[in-house]
Amino acid sequence: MKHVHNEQDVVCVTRSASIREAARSMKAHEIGSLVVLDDDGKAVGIVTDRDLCLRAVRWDRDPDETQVGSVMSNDLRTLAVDADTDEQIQLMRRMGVRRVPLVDEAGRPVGLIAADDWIRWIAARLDEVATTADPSLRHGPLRPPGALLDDLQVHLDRHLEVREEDPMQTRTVTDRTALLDAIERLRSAMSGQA
Amino acid sequence: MTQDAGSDIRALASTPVTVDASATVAEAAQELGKQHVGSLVVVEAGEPIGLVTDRDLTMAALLRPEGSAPPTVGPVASRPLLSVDVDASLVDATLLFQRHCIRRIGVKDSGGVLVGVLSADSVLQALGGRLADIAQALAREFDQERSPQPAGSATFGSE
Repeated sequence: MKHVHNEQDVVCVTRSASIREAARSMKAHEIGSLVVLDDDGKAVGIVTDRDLCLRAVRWDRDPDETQVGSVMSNDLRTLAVDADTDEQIQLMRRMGVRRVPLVDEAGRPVGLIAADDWIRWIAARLDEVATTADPSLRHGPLRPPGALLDDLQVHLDRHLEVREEDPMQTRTVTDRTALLDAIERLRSAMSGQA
Repeated sequence: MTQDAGSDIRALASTPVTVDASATVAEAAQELGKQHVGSLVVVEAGEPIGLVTDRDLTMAALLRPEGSAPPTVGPVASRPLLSVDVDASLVDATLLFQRHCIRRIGVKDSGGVLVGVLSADSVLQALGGRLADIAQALAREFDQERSPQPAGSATFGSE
């Protein structure tokens, strides 16, 4: 089972790049880590803003003379692109890391699993589950608009079945058509927002 | 339902580690590494004026103009130090995180003295723990239904 919703685009840096280049790239992409590549484009390490702080800034190392390879974390753990949810989270847990690169068969990075993405994903699912369990939303005036439209449609289908040949029903048919049309427009407006 | 014990924040906050505004980013990074923290409270004349994170130090040090000396912490710090009262609710804290897109805030006592730093990570850990506890409660409810205790053996209030 592949969970593409948790994969970020992965930003990489070569081992021989300067730490200034690494910092510049992190800033430009507003990210906290880069996957470090060897000359063949294979992932060999990861470098975070904290690594740079504790292994370079702390010792006042020169931003232009210091290579990324000398401050990166070597004990890189990667996951195959098709790793499932459990594998992703258990590896983060075991390693005590918040980011894990996804690699292809040649070891080239193709994505990144980040704990923050998982947190957001879980929070959204929790919100959905919590909402369905809230009785005031199920029965009260705050029922979701989509569900109200469903109700209305069912109501119209059930109670406004008309014989169109009956001249007395012409008005009802017009009303019903207008209502169904309105429901349709509301639905497409809502899906446009989503 | 929305009640929220104020002691949460006290329990979750860590002791603030400070650095003087005149220290260099290298000195601040040393302190950060020594104390195993992600941020330092920046003080000037003994007063907390802001916060500096490992990322702030990295960017200030490594993106400084070529050939220049490492900058001091004062200009790098995020100011002011946004804080909550130690007796504030967890909701107050998380709303402050959300509103300002920050992951760390100061915690002050009733006299306005800084007594801690609260991180979004520690709040997340606490919430995750509560969620796991609730999940366990749901699981146990079914377990108990499957293997009911004899009537009258309930031990209310024993835990």
